[in-house]
Amino acid sequence: MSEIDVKVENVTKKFGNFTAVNNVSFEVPKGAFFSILGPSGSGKTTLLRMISGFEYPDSGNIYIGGEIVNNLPPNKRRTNLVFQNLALFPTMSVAKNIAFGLKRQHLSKQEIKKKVEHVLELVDLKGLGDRNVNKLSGGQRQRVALARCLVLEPTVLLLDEPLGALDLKLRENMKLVLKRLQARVGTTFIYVTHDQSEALTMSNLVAVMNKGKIEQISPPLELFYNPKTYFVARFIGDNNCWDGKVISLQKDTCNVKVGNISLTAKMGENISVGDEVSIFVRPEIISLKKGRSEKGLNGTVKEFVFDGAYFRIVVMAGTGENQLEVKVKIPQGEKIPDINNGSEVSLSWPDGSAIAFKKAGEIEKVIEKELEGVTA
Amino acid sequence: MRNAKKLLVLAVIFTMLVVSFAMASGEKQSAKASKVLRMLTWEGYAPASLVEKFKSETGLDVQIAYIGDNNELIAKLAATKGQGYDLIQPTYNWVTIAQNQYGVYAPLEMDKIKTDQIDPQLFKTVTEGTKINGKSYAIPFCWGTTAMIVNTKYAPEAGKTYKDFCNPKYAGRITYRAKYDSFYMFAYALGLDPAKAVSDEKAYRDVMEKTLKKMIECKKYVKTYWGSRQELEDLLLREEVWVASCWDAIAFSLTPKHPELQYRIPKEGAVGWIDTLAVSAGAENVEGAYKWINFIMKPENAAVIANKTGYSMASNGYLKYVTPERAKMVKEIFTPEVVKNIKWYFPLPSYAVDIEADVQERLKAAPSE
Amino acid sequence: MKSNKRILRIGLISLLLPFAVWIGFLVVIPHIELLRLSFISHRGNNFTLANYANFFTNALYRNTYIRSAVFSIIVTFITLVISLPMALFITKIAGPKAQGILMLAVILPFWISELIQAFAWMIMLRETGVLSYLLQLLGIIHHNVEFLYNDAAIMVGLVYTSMLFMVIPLVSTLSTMEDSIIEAAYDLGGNFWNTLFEVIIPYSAPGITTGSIMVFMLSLGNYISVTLLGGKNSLWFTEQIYNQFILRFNWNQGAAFGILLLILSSLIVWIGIKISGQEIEEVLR
Repeated sequence: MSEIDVKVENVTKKFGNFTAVNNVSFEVPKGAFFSILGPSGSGKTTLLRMISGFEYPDSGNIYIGGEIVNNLPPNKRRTNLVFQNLALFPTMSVAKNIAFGLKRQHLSKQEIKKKVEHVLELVDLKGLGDRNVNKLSGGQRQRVALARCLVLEPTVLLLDEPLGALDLKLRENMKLVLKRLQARVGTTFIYVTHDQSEALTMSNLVAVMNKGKIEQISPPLELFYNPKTYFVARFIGDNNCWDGKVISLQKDTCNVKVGNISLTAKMGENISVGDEVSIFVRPEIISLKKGRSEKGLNGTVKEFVFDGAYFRIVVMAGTGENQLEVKVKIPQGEKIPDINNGSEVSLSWPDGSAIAFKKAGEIEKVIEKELEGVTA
Repeated sequence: MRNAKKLLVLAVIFTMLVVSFAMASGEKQSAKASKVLRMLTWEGYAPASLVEKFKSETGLDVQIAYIGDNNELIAKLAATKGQGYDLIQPTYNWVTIAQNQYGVYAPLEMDKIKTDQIDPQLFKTVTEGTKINGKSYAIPFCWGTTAMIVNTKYAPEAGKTYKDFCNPKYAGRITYRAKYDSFYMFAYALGLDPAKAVSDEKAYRDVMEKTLKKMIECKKYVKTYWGSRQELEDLLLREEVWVASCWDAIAFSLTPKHPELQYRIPKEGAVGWIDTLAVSAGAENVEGAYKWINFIMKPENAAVIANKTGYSMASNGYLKYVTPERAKMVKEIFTPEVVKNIKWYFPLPSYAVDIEADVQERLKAAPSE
Repeated sequence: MKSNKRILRIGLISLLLPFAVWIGFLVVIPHIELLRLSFISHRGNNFTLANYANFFTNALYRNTYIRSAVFSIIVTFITLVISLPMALFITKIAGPKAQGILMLAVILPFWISELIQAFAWMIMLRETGVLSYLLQLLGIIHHNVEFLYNDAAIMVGLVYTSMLFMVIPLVSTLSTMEDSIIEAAYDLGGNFWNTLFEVIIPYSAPGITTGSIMVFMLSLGNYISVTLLGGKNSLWFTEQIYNQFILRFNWNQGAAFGILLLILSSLIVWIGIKISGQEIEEVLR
């Protein structure tokens, strides 16, 4: 059992009638890159602010390095926060920004200077110490914010969507910088984001949050292929989602009637006959063959697009009014069957890769909104 | 180029418009002047009821600007050489200095004034005192005195002499102005005569220096030097001071409701002032000014002002028209001996103005032990 | 092309004309006249330096001058010390609704004239006034105490009348400061004092300088509060100017004093800007 740096135990926080964080518990092992992923309003920032000390929990406990810190102010905690807008001190130079925290530790001037230089080197800002922070590029400012925290050698480094303000290319680059940096210094990171690609790329562990609750904590790959809730299945990635009615149950699978097609799916939760459910199948896992087949799901190609990394294919399966729209993604480089718009194809996926969850209309709305934001 | 010219023309037209507007509004004013009488006077000297009456008798509108003190009055007139006002009401002793230095008044045409309405004694004092090159510049309007007011509850014995302004018995309960009237009171109490000394610069300097020395010595007993009537009344009514210098009119308004506050005239005599009527050198409606003078000095009109302000008028027989209580109070306080002993303010040559300003500044700057 | 430029220039000049007239008639010409008067002898019409010499030879004038300047600096400092927490509270702690109410509370006293404000303070501070009464009610003092008619009363009045001019620039500077900057200081281990002195005050420096200049100038040029609240020993340089113009009719001496006051305030403002390390352009913005 590895050492635990941060432990959150039955923590609840309310603002008036609104429950921002609802009875949340989790543990973050030492040295982990732990992400909290959720749509806006899910309570992830409140959770982070409670760990950093800017909010105090109404109930429950927060442990840092094994000690309860519930009501300890931020300046007494061994945590440091990289703010969403970075919050660099605009009147100070790079070096002074970094030295601010060190000065509070009553270190000698030489020591401070040494540490500042060392951390500047670590974040690739060597020689920029005297520069005013307003005269830096976005990526450089990002790294000053990191250096300012890392130089204090916190038990946990907290990051509140720090890449949000960067443009796409820089963001991709900073993701790697962050991951490498974390690997190098070995500090525990807790990273809050609404961007799943950030969370999935960098983290060892991702906690998906919705409406103040944690839905699932898993490594990224498991989150992707083995969602534990409807929300996770819907929220992570560009999933196929088909609504239908349960006809019959097996041991851990169920048969679902979707339109006039019958599909078999693993049960993600307790399901009974007659339930309205949604079936999720990852587009990446679906294999596509040209022509019809007995065993697979047959359909015609409606769209065929290459986006640089993937071939994105939309297939209309079944017949009549209740045709099923199936998204398929084939990574670039794999062999592509010779198909065009209108080609007849058959689709199949491995047993157990289709998962069924009971439909939840409310969640649907939240996700629709979030997905709109992502595509926009 | 053509556009440029257009712009230039526009700019010129704009400027001309601004200037001509300004001039037009000036012209309008002067056109109206003969129907309007413009006065620079003190609060209460031209009450609305009399202004109405005057208008119905003469058809003249009256525009009034108020002044707070004589220095302000002179400053206002000096800036425009008296233009903008027809009738001015300076205090008697301030007339000649303003006239000598700035020439803001016009000599009075006595044949236009009904002199029989005016108290002959005061008329003589003022017309003689304001004579420059054989011409008089003012006639008396009303008069009043400055003496002491005491709170008989705490200081029943006070008020017999100005020396009480320096009486340790009333330490911290004394107030007077840091102005010339207080200097005169202290001077008379010291047995000096500033009125006599004023004609000689050195003698006057000597009197004022001696007075200043005494006043600095007495500064430790003063609560504050009062500045406004409101301030004095507050200090008296809240019983924060017991002994104060005071205008008779203030006392007349306070005593009926607060009988413990009594106006007392010390043995050195009350200090007296006379406000006058004068015509501005820049007057545009001279006839109107004389009409007002003759109107306001009628005893029944003068009595209206007396009732309102509490001052004594220079109008003959006005006491017949004031309220019986006031007539009684005036007769009790201003006995013939008291009136005879009034130390009238005297006109100041310019060196005296400087000497007084100088000692006043030094009094305020001096530390009070 | 050339004539186009000329049109532009003429257009610009005609647009600026009213402004130039305004500045010329109301600012420049009176000051030039003041300067001219100050070099002319009183009751003579010849050139003289005597009006300035009088200032340097007369200890009364010199002391009043220095006293007014020192007092105004102290008033500026006190105003800053009171206004900074107020501005911080308004911008960083109060909610949007409370913010409006608080700003209104700061501005409200300025809807009435300074004269009335001074009278209100007289009612508060006088021997039989509100403060004396309250302190007796609390048992802190046992008989009436005079708080009016001294230098402290002048300070109170001046701080009160000029507070708005400090609070508003501070609020406008601090409102551009993101809350997270203060949070970051705390997060990095800072406490109240080093956050205040190393983060908040440097950030609000432009507001502090602007506010200080206004408060200092207003205090140095104040006449009403000073004469009403000050006691028998209070003397302010503006009072000396008033005395010269109004008591002595010595406009020339008064003009010289006015010029000296202008020099003093400009000098101290310049020193203040130099000390705080700001650029004048920055402050004016």
